[in-house]
Amino acid sequence: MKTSEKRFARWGSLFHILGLTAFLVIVFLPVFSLLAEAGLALVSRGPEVLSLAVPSAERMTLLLRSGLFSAATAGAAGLIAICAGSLLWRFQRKPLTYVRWLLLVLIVIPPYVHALSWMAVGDLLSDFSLWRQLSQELARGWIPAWWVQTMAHLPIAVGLTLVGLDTVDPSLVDAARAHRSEIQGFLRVVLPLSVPTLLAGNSFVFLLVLLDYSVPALFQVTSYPLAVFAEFSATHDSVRATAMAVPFLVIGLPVLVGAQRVIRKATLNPRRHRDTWTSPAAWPPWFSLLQWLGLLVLGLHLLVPLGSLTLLTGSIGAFGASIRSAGSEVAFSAGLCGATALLSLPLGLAVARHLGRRTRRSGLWWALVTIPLVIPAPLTGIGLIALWNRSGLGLVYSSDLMPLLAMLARFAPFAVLALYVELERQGPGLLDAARVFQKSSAHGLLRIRLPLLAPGVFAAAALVGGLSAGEVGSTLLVLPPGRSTLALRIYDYLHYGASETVAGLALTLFLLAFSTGLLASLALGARSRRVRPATRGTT
Amino acid sequence: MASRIFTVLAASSVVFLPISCSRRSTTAEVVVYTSVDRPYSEPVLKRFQEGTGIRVKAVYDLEAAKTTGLVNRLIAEKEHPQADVFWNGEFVQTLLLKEEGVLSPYASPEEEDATFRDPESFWTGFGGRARVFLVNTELLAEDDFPSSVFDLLDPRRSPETFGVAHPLFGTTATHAAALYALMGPDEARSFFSALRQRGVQILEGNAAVRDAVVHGRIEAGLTDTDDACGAIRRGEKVAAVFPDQEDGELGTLVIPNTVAVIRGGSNPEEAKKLVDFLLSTDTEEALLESGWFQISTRGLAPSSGCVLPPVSRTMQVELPQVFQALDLARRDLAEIFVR
Repeated sequence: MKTSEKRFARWGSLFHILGLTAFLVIVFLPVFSLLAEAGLALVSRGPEVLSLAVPSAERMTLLLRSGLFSAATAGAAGLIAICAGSLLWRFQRKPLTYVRWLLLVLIVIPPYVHALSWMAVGDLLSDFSLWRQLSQELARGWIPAWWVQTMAHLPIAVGLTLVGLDTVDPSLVDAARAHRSEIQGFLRVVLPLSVPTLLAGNSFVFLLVLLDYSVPALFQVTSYPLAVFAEFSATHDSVRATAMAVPFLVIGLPVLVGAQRVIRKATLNPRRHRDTWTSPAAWPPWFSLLQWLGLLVLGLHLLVPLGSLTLLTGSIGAFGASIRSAGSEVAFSAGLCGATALLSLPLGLAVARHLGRRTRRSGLWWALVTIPLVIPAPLTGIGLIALWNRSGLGLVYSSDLMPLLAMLARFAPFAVLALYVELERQGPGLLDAARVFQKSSAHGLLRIRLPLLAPGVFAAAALVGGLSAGEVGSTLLVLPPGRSTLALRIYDYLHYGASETVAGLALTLFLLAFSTGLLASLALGARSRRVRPATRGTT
Repeated sequence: MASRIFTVLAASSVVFLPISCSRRSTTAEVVVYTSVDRPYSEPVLKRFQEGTGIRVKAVYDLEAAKTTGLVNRLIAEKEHPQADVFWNGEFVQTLLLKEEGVLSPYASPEEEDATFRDPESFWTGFGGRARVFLVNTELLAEDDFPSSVFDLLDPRRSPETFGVAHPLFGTTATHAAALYALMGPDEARSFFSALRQRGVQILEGNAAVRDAVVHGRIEAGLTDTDDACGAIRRGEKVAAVFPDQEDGELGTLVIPNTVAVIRGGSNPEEAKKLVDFLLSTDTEEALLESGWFQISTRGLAPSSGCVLPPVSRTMQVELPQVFQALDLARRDLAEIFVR
């Protein structure tokens, strides 16, 4: 091996170790400090704390209901995503292909804003006597809560469905289409090959819904996270709250472990390097109907918040005033979310490589990645305070690094999982060819490996950036004094009742997300222009 | 392309990290944590900053955090406090912070006018909001307006047309604790059990109660005066009614704001100046004008577009009594409502 190659390998190892260490310190240490405190409390306080980890019959019912609710939401989002995604999948040429990537960044709109938008629709319907009864019935209960949560998380499900469908080898699709009907090929070949990514998407949705008490509470639905929060707000005791959150681990971990097993057992399908749809699809009418219905629902996801926010904002002047009033928050949020998205990538790449290894140690890494996903946001914030609010660390604790660390602690595991799926889908053929023909390791990395990773990198960054934009639970606890994010400002005004201001700010958030998505789409388009000619027709 | 992405990534990280470590200011500053809604508290803090030249760094609480986000933060930061002052929109959390050893005593010269104050000067109460029924005047005739919290249990009224915020959180929890202190645990527990069994709507927060009344999803709901005033000032078709104003009735719960100095804060002198400012007549006038206060401890009249009828009968309960009742109330209410 040449000296330069050795040096490159050494630098690569160093960055890899740095990434792993950063992940452990940033993501797992706050959780570990909470768990360690809970463990010590278990010794000193004994059964009192332990009993909280084992739900009573009533809390068990609540937990099961919350689990079923999350599963129903994830299932519905997954089904709609398959219907709409299979239609959008056909749009593989510009400019329609750009539209698909915009979906993923729409997750930036917090579920709370979706809830308020749909409530506004209900209020509008109640003005008509014919609909009044129905709108009042649908103003509370599990069904509207389920609908709003499904709509709020639809972009994640659709985005990851598209990632999954895009990674199906076109030659396999061609073979299926040649020997079976379109729908049979889709159901028996395409969907099973996309299962890992679909399951990853559904698992994300399941966990995000499982941990959220705010939207169910808006529709008067009591969920298990509300019980945890009630305990925390009553006792201000993070140990008791952590003990009560243990059932989240019990429910959340099997979901992730199950999804993980499917992902690991799945056939490694090489990424497509040419258009899948060289001839028009011939779906049966019932499936076409489902596809268009799925797309309609996806359209509603976009149009209802956009329409109600625009109407509520009232005028361009009011919109301008909203932006001016929140100029510093807009800039701060954009910087913070951008930095979180960027920094989650090296962390994600370092850890994702370990998830894919078939060793005993990979099980440990899976645990390190998944446990933070099921820790409620306020507890992450408390863990960060316990960790960083110490003598000698004042400069860090009172700085903008704290909300950045909070967002990374909460959402970097999502980047790990998204990048893991992407790494698993990399075709070994191209990588082997790269090893043979590359001028150097750096050349192979920059010209082959990273370009292949680019869609996963964008998806992970958009996912993390979008989730960070709506984060309030842990940010509130560690934000430096004098700072505020756009999401926090929206929540400030939600209570005040200044609906035009809230709408203007939420619209700003929406447009920021839209612009980010557009830029990401253009970047992906530019990348595909460079990569495709050299790889067209390869498998 | 990918190499560019990673160059940008690395460059951004390298640039962002150093600049994100904010430098400590050399000018005088004070850090305040406040649970008072930002649209009301921010102008007051700006006036203090402009008047004194002391830079105010604020952290605002959220309705979604149920007024406990900052309290949890203050407790967690107790050993190395970041805040200098806590300005609370109610009082029980402040009393809790005193119990947790988070506060430092300070007897402000302005405190002499205060109706509510800690005997050891750990906190001072000022101004006040009150619990109030907000009524949709299109759905309910004036004769049918509720006049007592016990109207929520009136079998002649449909329970689904009434709403209250979740009694485990915020000022509704304070109200519940006050009822526990006043009525006794058994009677209060029966009251809330009946409320739950009847099917009175339990909404996410006081703002949700206000919005449900405004949009006609319910006929009337129990909320705070600042929420009620927000709707009235916007010209919504609603009215506010103080509950239990007749002789022999419980009276309306008045909830003062409280302010306290944080023990071990970095800017103790500036903190005292801010406390003095918040307790001043000027601030009380400003908060009455903005609609945050409806009750004046100095007998000032509320101005602005929302003038509510005077509270003739307030709930006769001491603030520490309410605080002491809170723990039992919360445990009971968790059993009743979180299921």
